[in-house]
Amino acid sequence: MLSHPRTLRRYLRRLLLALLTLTLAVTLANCDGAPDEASNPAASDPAATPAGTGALVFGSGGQPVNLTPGNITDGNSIYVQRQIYNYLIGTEPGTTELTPELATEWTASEDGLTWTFKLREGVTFHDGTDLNAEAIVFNVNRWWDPDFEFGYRAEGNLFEIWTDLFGGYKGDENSTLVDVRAVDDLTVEFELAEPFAAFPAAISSGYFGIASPTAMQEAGPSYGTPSGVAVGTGPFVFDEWRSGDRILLSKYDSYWEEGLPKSDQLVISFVEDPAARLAQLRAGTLDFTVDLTPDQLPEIESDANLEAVFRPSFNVGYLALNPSYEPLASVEVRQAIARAINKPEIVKAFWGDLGQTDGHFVPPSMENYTDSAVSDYDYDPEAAQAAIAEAGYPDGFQLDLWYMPVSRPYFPNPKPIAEAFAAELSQIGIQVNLQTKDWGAYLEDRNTAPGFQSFMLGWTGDYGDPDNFLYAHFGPGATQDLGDYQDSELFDLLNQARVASDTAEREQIYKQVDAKLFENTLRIPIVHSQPLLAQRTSITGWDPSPLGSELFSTIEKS
Amino acid sequence: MGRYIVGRLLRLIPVLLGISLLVFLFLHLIPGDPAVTLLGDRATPDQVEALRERMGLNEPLPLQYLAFLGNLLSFNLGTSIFTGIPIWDEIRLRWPATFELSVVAMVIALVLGIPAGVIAAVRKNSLVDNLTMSGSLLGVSMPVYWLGLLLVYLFAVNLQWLPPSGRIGIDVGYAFKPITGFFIFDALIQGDFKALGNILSHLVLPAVTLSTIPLAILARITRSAMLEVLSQDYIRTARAKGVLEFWVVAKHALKNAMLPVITIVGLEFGTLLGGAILTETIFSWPGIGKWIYEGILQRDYPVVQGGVVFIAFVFVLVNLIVDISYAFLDPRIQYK
Repeated sequence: MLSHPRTLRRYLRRLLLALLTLTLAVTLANCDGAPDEASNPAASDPAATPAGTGALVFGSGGQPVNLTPGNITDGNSIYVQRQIYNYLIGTEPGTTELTPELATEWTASEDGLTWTFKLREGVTFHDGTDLNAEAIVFNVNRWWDPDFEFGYRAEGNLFEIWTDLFGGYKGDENSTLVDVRAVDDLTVEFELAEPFAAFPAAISSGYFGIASPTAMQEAGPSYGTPSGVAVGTGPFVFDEWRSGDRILLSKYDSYWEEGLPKSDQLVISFVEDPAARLAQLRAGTLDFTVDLTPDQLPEIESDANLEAVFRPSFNVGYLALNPSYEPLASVEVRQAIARAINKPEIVKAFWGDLGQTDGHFVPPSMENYTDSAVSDYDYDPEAAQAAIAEAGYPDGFQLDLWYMPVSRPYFPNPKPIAEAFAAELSQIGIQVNLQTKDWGAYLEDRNTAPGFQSFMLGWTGDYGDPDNFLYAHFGPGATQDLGDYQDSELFDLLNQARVASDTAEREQIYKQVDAKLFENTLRIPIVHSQPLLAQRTSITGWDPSPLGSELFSTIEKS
Repeated sequence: MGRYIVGRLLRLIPVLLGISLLVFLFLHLIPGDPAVTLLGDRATPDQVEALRERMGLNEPLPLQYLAFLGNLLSFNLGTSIFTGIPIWDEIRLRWPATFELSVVAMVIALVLGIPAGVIAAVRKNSLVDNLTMSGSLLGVSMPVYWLGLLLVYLFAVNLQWLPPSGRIGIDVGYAFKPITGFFIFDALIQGDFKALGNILSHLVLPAVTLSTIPLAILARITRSAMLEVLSQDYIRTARAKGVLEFWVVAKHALKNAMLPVITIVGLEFGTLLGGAILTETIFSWPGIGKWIYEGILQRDYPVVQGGVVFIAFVFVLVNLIVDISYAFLDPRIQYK
């Protein structure tokens, strides 16, 4: 078939011309006198205008569920709330050590049943109202009292985390809290049902920011939603929530901490996909970000504009051995299993620089609560095999090992890790059957008798106290997944530590617990992993907290 | 024609019912429990049970479906399990982003795909034809996720020509106040050309990524339709009359080859809306797709159900419009 190349060419030329014009128009409109982005790769936003506001941009792993304190458990929400609200007590940057925040001092009564918090003077909420004892009581009642007028539970507020940390709501039999009252304008008292030494840490965990009672009453159920408001005393004021896209915060000019925050504007950008987050960080549209995967570390290190940041570990990934399964009832067998698994090698292979292993259940940041005599079981398959034979299993035995169907920071890819366990255990004659099931069922069935024979699971702490790790896994009622294992001596120690108010005394008790747990080998601590974060080199002053979120008020962008 | 349209609209009802049933079943068949996701790993079985009860998840599935359907009929899509925000509010807020992206992607696909197909047909078996066709094969088979990241790395990370994500830059975004949610339109009516340029530059990468599959398919369909038409007698007649080849191709042949192309455009619009789930996730595009993606991760049933039913509705509607447009393209087709 013949064609007329000349007319075709003309047609093509016109098309090309039209496209070129369009491109030119876009480029011109885009540049608007701005320096050429291509020649200015350091520009924070490739499409930024010359008069950049220098807003600090944080890449969050997703959109917050809401900005209502006490009504969330997810990290994305806590991160934003941490910037808007203050907490009764803060933590020393990079540690779990408590420091004054809204409360300047806190003391327990002799019997440990009453905690008194003295509040900082002259602190105001972003709406201009005063922070006082009544405001604290209002906030606590919202979380604790199911009948509180301004809790809006019928409209969907849950405040579930309160019961996790404090036993129950007002009126529940197990409620740790009995009463909360304003003694004077700047003094709040909490009355407890039983002594709870970790109470100051627990009530100051990332869930429980202090919000303006006036704002909460005025906004009603819409408080903390994209169309509502969020009003605290924190370094940043909530300006706008663009659903699915970003949250805009700006500096609170009357913030009580001198010279802070250092940035005038803070933008929380929601980027769900870790690969997209890293790409945006590299492109400069994000300044710092969290929740990256360990396999992204080489990419971060290869980019001169980026810095890898490690969050101090505050978790534990463990392998639980259920003593209600016959062979595992023997402590010698359990210890043999601990000896048969080459933990350092496994951690090196699966976590690289992002994990460490030791014999302690609590993470390294709470080292002062661990027994320095406890290190770890040496990897020794021969001794392990001999121990199993001596315990009456010369031919080994069958063992179901359950691995999680989901990825968590403490077990980023559970299946291959489980396979590594299985390979090691087969060397000492234990035939492992790997099992898994739907996550919801997994969590539930391990607690339903007889439970799993052995399983992988982990924990990330809520607040900086060993109670949050140890009582939650070895205390009364927490051993259903270990065949309701009862160790009255251990229970006593854990209860004593809860009640003791003296730090040195508590340290002594937890050291005993640590040694006992190491001996028992019921949950073998496999790893304390460090979440991977990254920032551009233009960022200074970011000091990640082991607790999972920290203030951005000290961060500066050059 | 009016009766035809009414009839077609009525036939939408069983289609949407079927879609809602499928979405509902698939969502409830995949493992995972919103109560567990919402409460976190440490929730006790009692807490999970209480929340399941409260969310109505303990009702038998048929009852849950009927409740969902009942709400649907009264245009109530429920509220998100996680955020408590009404599904309609979210859709109203987010669909302009998805629609804008899809339309721009479709425009790219049309502007490049149809000429590519025409040229390939006119120059059948030439180098241009081979290049176009292998290129389109590549376009169809390239995973959107991978292509999107590749483009981001090339144009945003390495060359720094274009922004990697979002609808508007951080700085420009402060001053820009959306009115309708269609950013291009909003910038135009406000005469804000700085914002317009910024918005368009943000559109390039996601729209190009999203357009690859429809572009490739359009090029192939146009080519085969053109080949068929070009071999017909009336084309030979036109050429014999001395009509310029450009007009033979552009007017006589192209118009008649358009029918299958238009059909594909309608169908591909659905692909665009579906493809938006991945594209929007890679490019942090605050539309329906990213929202559904979050919903799937969290097992937020109302979000996924509402989002998918909405997309299905738009898809069916677009195809209805396509069917109606046949009558204008081909006078032989009449609807009674």
